[in-house]
Amino acid sequence: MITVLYFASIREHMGRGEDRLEAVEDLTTVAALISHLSETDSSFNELSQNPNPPLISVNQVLAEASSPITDGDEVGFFPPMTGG
Amino acid sequence: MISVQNEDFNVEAEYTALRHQAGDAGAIVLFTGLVRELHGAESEESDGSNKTQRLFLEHYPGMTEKQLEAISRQASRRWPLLGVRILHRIGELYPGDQIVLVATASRHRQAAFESADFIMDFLKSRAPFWKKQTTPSESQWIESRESDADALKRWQE
Repeated sequence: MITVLYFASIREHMGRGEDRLEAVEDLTTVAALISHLSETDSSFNELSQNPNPPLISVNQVLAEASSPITDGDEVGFFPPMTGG
Repeated sequence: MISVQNEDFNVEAEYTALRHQAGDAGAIVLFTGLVRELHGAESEESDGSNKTQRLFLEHYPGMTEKQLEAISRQASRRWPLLGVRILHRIGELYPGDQIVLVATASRHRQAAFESADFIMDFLKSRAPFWKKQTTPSESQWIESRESDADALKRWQE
């Protein structure tokens, strides 16, 4: 299982903060996960079409589309940070 | 030490704790960030419609603490620090509220000044916090600023 978390404007756009994906054998990179979510979820598809796509984390570390993922990982999608 | 909390903080208590921790420090620099009423507005002129009534701070529990620890470690590798304190508030905040505290201790002032500046620059673009601003006319997520990303470049040397 892969846990997908959404934050801030991305969370509001998705209408939920979390997805849990079973049967993830083929999802070996973030890019594959993004393709999968884009095909199965129209809200996510809108996000990935955006000229400013979300930032990505894997297991709470900043990552990229090419980053590998594996069963049990936690993947986050969120807008650029605005703390401080 | 890293804290992410709803509660307000006491600058004097934080200063005293760092002073005791830092042993033979010759300098402590302590920065606090406050919620502004005219967030993002460069002009002080306003008809009131863009005045912040409140701010909501969301974060990514777990990742936030990891990122702040990583930024603190980076600063400690770069400068000879005797103590680092980072405290960031989350949840609902109002104009004038304290939002963030960064304090660094070192033997000499230059390291303390520079490292506090460095930590704030990285915190703004690398720690997963997001601000939602409510004004009389709307409620919207604040967008990141180019200048914040640019601020990181001056540390890359």
